Amino acid sequence: MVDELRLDRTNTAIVVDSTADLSAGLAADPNLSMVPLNVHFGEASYCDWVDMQPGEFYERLKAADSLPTTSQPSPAKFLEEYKKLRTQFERIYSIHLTSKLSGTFESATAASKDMTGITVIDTGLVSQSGALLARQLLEMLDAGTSHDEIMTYVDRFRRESGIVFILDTLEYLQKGGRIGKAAGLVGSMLHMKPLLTFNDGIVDTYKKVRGGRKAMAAMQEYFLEKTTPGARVAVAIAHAAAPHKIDEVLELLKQTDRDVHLVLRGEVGSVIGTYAGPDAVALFFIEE
Amino acid sequence: MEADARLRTVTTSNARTLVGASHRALEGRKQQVNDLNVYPVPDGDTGTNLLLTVRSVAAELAKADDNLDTRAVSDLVSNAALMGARGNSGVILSQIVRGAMEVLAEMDVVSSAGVVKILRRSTDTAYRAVRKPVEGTILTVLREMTEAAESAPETVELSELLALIVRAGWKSVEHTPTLLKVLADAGVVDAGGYGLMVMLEGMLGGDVGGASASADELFSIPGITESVPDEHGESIYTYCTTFLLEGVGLDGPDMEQVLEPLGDSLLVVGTDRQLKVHVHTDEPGVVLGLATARGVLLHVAIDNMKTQTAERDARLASPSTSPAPVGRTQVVAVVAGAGVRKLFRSLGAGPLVEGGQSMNPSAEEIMNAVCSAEAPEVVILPNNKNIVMAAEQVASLAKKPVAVLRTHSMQVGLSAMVGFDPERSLDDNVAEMSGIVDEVLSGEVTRAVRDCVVDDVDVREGAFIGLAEGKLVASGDDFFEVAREVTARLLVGERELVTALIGEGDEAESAREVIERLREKFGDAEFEVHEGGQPLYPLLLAAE
Repeated sequence: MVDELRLDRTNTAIVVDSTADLSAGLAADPNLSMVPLNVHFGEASYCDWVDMQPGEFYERLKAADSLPTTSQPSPAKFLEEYKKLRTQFERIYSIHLTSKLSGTFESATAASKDMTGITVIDTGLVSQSGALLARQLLEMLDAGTSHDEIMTYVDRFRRESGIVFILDTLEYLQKGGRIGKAAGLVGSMLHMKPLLTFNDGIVDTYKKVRGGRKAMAAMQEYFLEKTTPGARVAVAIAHAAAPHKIDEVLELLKQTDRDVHLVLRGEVGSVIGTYAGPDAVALFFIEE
Repeated sequence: MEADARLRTVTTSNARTLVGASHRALEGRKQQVNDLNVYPVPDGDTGTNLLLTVRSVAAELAKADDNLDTRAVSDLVSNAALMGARGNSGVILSQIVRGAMEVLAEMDVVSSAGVVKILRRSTDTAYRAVRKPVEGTILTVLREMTEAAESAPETVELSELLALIVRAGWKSVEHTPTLLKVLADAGVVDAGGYGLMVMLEGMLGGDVGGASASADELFSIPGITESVPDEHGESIYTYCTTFLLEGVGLDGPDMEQVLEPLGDSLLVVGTDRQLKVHVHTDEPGVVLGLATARGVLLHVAIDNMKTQTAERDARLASPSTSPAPVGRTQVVAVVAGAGVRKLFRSLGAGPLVEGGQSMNPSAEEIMNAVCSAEAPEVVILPNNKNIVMAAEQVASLAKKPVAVLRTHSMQVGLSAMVGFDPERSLDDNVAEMSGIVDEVLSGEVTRAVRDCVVDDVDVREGAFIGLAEGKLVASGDDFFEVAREVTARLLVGERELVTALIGEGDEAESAREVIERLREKFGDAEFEVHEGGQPLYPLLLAAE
């Protein structure tokens, strides 16, 4: 029976799509592969995190006349990656951003249909939620685990992990057509810093505030609401062309009584950045 | 149709009359149908798509021989609908038409029993064409009309039957939001079902069953803040792609299979010689490539739904068509000044009551606003110390739960609006909003109307006076100095954001300059400036 197979680094690989916004360290992991989504400026197409790095992306985003668009990888790209990995690994866990906002999960699922040993996961989340989940699964592989344990963990991650973005503006999210339940915020003439989270795979408003300091305070509040006192929490923080914000967020988390472990820090890549816009900062976490 | 015997036979001329009437009715309401369109994608083109489909039928009929027989007319209409079908709704309509025409082709004269048969076949054909039929759509409306017709007594007169069908159809349209959450969330009825009824009613003469009023009653669009749906609404795909494929031995199911992975909202209908295909995809090129490998392409239409969605949003967001969104809770705010009014509206407040420092509204005016609020619970923002009492009186007399937030200035009221969420209960809103009210400090700059000494400050008539939290803190001829003193009193503690509202009148320009200097002076703070247009106060300030 498949479920009884002991899974470890010798027989199991993790695939993420580029919207997991991997940190450099994680990207180098031998058991982890990444399949890029595409970002298009007019006629020109680039592969997220491959030939379009965040630094260049935000420069171009600010200068662009019309907003870039994004597209999912084709099933063929996943198939190619899966086939390659299956020559070496028996099992693949393929982790993807919410299927409600992208067809990436569909592409991956289509590619996995004719193969065995592949589990495609819809996180219902975006950005470093994917990286954080991948990292946790790799740790489980280090210790040795099973399919059931992995799926139980994935379920818990989907239910309990925290995700919150502070956007500088809703413009990109709205123009990109991913506004979801935060639609009520559009049209406000007062400049707000919305704190957005994900519910049921789509964008939802956690809180609306004005002013950067209040936004940070609200992020801390969200973190406290979603974690238990004294808990050890694995944390990932990503910024969009605003590196100083990572330490600001970290500082706020460390002021709490939670045992905060910053396991990933990085940037919001071009695909997620198309919707988040520059100067965004995002926090992801899961109790350990 | 007033059971007009002459229209009961299928001739070219009768078909022209009926299709023409249907086309005119739909043309008149195209925009409404577009604006209702939130499902499957809120791209606001259902009306346009239905209209283009009908138009194509009308155009073919116009070109047709005057003396076609029943079968030829039926085939022509069926074919033209298929050829011209645009979008999801157009393709489904073409299948409704096809079903109807199959039955009609066998008839000499249309009878009551014939109408029942036509509807049944239309329903079955349309349901079959859709891979996963969803209730609360045009399909439901059609099915419920059919069921109503089927349960009518066999002896029913044709005119009576048609009236009954139309009534059942509108009733079904009205119920669509109970079946499809995305419609309920957006507060609209289904666009396709609505469009179908508009067409049917137009075809039958407009006042069958006294139902024409339904079209107006059922058309209501809440503000855009409410109408963007959450789950289904947003197609992950960008291009709505429709085309007609001609060839020999075309295989519909095969076409479906190859297109399935490329998108959603897939519809493949037609015959082995002609297939109409509709799909939402990110890869129209690939879709067309797959199609050309199987036949000859005709009538290709590729629409960018993202732009369409944005256009629909923009149209509905314009103030003229956007009343305050109705949810669980509404805000009645007392405001003065066109700009302030707009700001409050943009944050979801309304109904608004005109008034302020020099013109306190009566309790009755506030009561009227509370009564006109459709939401079951209301928050009142008096936005002035002198109006708080009237507001509290209203709250105690109102027949629904009403809470008053003691906002002493419009600026504070505005900040409080940031915490407002129409979907939350009154209590939750009061908790969130009063938390903001407690933190915001507000001040104003105006001119003294007489010489006096207030709060130990000497004031000369005509001089600028500055108030912070209602207390006179500065007076003098220098606008900036007075404003600076006020701002310094407001930017205390953790406060980092100053909201400035520029008043109406001659001093607006100098107020703008003052703000620029305040920005320099208080470099750490963020300033947000709006044209408030309020009377009496060249400058209103708030800090939080």
